[in-house]
Amino acid sequence: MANILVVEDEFDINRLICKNLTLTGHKCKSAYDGIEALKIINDEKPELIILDVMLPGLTGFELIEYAGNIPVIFVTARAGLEDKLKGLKLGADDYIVKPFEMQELLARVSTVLRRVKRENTVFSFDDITIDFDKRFVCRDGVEIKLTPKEYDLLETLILNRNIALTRDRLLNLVWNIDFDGDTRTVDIHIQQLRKKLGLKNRIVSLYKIGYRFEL
Amino acid sequence: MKRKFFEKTYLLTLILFLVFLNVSIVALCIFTFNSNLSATEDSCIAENYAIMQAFENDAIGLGSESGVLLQISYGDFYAEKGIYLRFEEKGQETFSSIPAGVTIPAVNTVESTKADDTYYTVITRVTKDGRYTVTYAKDISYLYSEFRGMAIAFIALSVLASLSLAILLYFILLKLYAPLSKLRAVAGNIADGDFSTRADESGGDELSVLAKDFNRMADKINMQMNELKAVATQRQRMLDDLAHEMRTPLTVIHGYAEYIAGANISREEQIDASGSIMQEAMRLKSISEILLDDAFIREGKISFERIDTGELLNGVAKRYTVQLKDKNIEIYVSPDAGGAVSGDKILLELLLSNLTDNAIKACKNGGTVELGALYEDGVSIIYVRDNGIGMTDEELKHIKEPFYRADKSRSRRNGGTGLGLSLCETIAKAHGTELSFSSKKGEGTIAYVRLGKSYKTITN
Repeated sequence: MANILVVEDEFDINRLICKNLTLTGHKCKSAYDGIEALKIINDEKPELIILDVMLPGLTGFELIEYAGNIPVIFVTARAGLEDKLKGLKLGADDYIVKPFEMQELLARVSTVLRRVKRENTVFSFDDITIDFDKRFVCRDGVEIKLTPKEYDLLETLILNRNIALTRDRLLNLVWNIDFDGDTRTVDIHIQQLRKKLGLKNRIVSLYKIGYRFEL
Repeated sequence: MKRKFFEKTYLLTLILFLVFLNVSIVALCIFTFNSNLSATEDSCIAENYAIMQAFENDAIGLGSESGVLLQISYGDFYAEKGIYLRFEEKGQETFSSIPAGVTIPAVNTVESTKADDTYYTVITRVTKDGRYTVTYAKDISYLYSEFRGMAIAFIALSVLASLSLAILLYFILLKLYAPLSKLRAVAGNIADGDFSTRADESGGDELSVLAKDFNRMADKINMQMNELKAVATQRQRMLDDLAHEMRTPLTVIHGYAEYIAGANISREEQIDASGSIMQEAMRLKSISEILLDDAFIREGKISFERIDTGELLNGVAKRYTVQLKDKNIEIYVSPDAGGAVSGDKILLELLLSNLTDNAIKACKNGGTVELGALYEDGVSIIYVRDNGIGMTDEELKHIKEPFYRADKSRSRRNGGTGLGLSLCETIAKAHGTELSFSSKKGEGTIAYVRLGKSYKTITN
């Protein structure tokens, strides 16, 4: 969906971010230091940069000057408020502190992309079309009425496609409930989505884990 | 603040001084009066003698008939001068101008006496022919009134002297005590935790010596405080670094575990991901092992033994020979490395292995690593030299700090913990020496450590 440059000098973390972004349909390019990243920014003009602050060669704070109007999400181990402010002042679109969960990064990537209108606002698969801007879902050209929570759940599953989401995680992401709540709520909504949109094969139940939207 | 010591000194000095002053004044008064009195009595005796002579001559010249008349004329004449006379003939008083109440003393005695608030010096003598007994009395009241005047003057003087003394003493003592109260203020500041204040050392007296000693104490305390603070800061930084250092492996481990659990991935990808997890777990394990080793060496006592340098270096080099054949890096021990050093063999092996690891990592294809030893003036220098990428001065400055990596991503991909040289430094310190480096970017690095040849045991 988008060409994303991941600038992170920790080899394993870089690879991990790329793997997850690739799973959700993005194209990824890795850079392990500032100089390498600068070259890719100039040559390939990525649509989003995920940028570590502490980098060999050029720091993330220096590098963002060359990013122009390419959106940037800072990823750093520094949790200091000052760094956060500095990053945002320099024009970063978001800021995420290590250690983070991949779903959190994916959610932010999607938010940023949608804000700068680089992400398709209309998403289609099989016989289903979803307009994220209008919160409109149709199947075979016929509008399907979804409750707000059903819609939120569908959107979350699509944004994290090919990645398993636990019931707790879904409760947190969709219902904003941050405790081991009644996970039956999740199950009931999943059932509704499967029934209304015929997603029995797309939304896979994973034993002891949760659900995964496969595409 | 109560200045009890000051008050005590002040009061005691003042009382002592006043007592001495006033006793002296009183003694002086009494002495002066007595000497005045006796001088007056002496002059009275002389005067009396002269009067007696004149009376005897006149009495002989005029004959016995005119006795009483003569007595009257003498009495009247001298009464005007404040001298009173009494004549006695054959035991009978014949004339007296002496006021009533004055006691008549025995013959040939001098007496000072008082009658009706008037003081007299009285002398009784007998003429040479034994016919007349003459008593002489002189009014000496002036002496007492003079004394009274003098006493009043002295009392006034004493009061004045006492007052000015009291005031002067107060200010003099205050001045003398000023350094002491300043010192006390400084001590108070230090007690409150302000270690930057210092006492005034001027003056050259005991208090300035005390101030100097005091400042020395404050310096020492300050120094030790700073040392403690530095150690605490270092510990805290180490802890912060450690927490930071653990975040990356933990992020990786959590991320890959999540990935394996959740993503629909192939078997190869699973193996690859679990490989990353294992590698990061191993790194955490190495970090913990090195930290434990480090603590052990830091606190432990190391036993020094004689170590054959050639044997030590060859032993370390041998371990790498096979592994380095594939990488086309040559490792060798300098031929003149033979000799002996004093140290802990296992620790020195660990130190050399770490240095060799670093040297190999710095080497490109076709590089060489040399292990060697030099001897001069009872000191041995063991070194590890490579012709690898080298380091800048800035990198050299930080190289011994825990978790510092000159090239972060390369070091981590090679499985480095960033603690190797920090451990080496601890080992060197346990041997009473330190690790030194000499390096040039692009030309290579020499790491060396100086060791004594003699046998000794250092308790750390």
